[in-house]
Amino acid sequence: MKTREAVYLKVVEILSDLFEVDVTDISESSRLYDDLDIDSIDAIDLVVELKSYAGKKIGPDDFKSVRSVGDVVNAVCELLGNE
Amino acid sequence: MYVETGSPVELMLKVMNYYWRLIATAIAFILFGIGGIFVPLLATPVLYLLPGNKRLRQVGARKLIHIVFKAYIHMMRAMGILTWDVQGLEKLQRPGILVLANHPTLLDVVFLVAFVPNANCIVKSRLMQNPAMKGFVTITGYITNDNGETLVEKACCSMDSGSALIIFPEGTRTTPGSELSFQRGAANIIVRGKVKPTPVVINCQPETLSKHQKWYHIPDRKFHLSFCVLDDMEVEKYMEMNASVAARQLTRYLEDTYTQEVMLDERRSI
Repeated sequence: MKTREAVYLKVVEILSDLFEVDVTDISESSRLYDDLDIDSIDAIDLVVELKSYAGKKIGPDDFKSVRSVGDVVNAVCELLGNE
Repeated sequence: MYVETGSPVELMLKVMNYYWRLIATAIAFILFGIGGIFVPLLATPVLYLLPGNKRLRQVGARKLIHIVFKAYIHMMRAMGILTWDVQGLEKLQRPGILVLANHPTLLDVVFLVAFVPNANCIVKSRLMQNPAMKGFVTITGYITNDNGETLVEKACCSMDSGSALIIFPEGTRTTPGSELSFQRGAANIIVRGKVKPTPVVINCQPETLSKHQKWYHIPDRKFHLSFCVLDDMEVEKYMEMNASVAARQLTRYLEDTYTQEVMLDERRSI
């Protein structure tokens, strides 16, 4: 079982590796589009990465309401069956 | 008759010319509006009635827009509203190219579609809510901007099938006086579709029809649009990198290159 903390660190790692986001700019409340300059094309790459991390299929609806980094972490945790 | 510079006669001619261009500009805008309703409304049923398949209807619809826009720019020139020149027009006549242009004026797309046969464009998804346009836009196969996920894919398919795709990487008209700022869509299409872009540098002197300018803000003389088609850009190195990082770096490279080219072009024209 992956802890919420581990998921968060993974998300931060993906954001900095793939999208050149400065790690120090990232917090749970950072908004993907407004604060981190993640556009809709990046979002697809992000979902692909998270899919391989979670080892689960991610449906298009699972990330519909995602706005912030915290939302991403929550969505992944939910997929993994964490509470 | 000898007219002294700044003489009353010359001044009067200048004022008359100004008002003529104002009226002509109004006529051009009205015609564009009327054409925007009636051309699609009439062409859509005709294209469906003629024998042919989806592909042939698409070619027909794009050809029609190409001809109508060509007629439109010649009309504006005949009315004395503007003049233009193109360098490297032959580079735009190749199939499957990605045309990337800066976007100083409202007329840029009209000219590019008039220059490029079988052009595909990215249009506002709002057009699909317009009953006069909806059917026709569907026939043309123009790509709507509502979905980033499918946009890149559709853009690549379109170029593979031989269409020339026209994109303004800024996503909207340039804000005069500020630096060029590109969205990453164009770079994503380049790195994911592995296509070399064909740059077009557009320059308008004096400035008119830019963002925040109304139609009646016409310049003090007839304006000139110049289109300079450059050689395809060498961007292979970005195609081997991770796509999302490459798109970011390439976007910065494109911004720098275009900023430089636009500046050079402006200096040449003054």
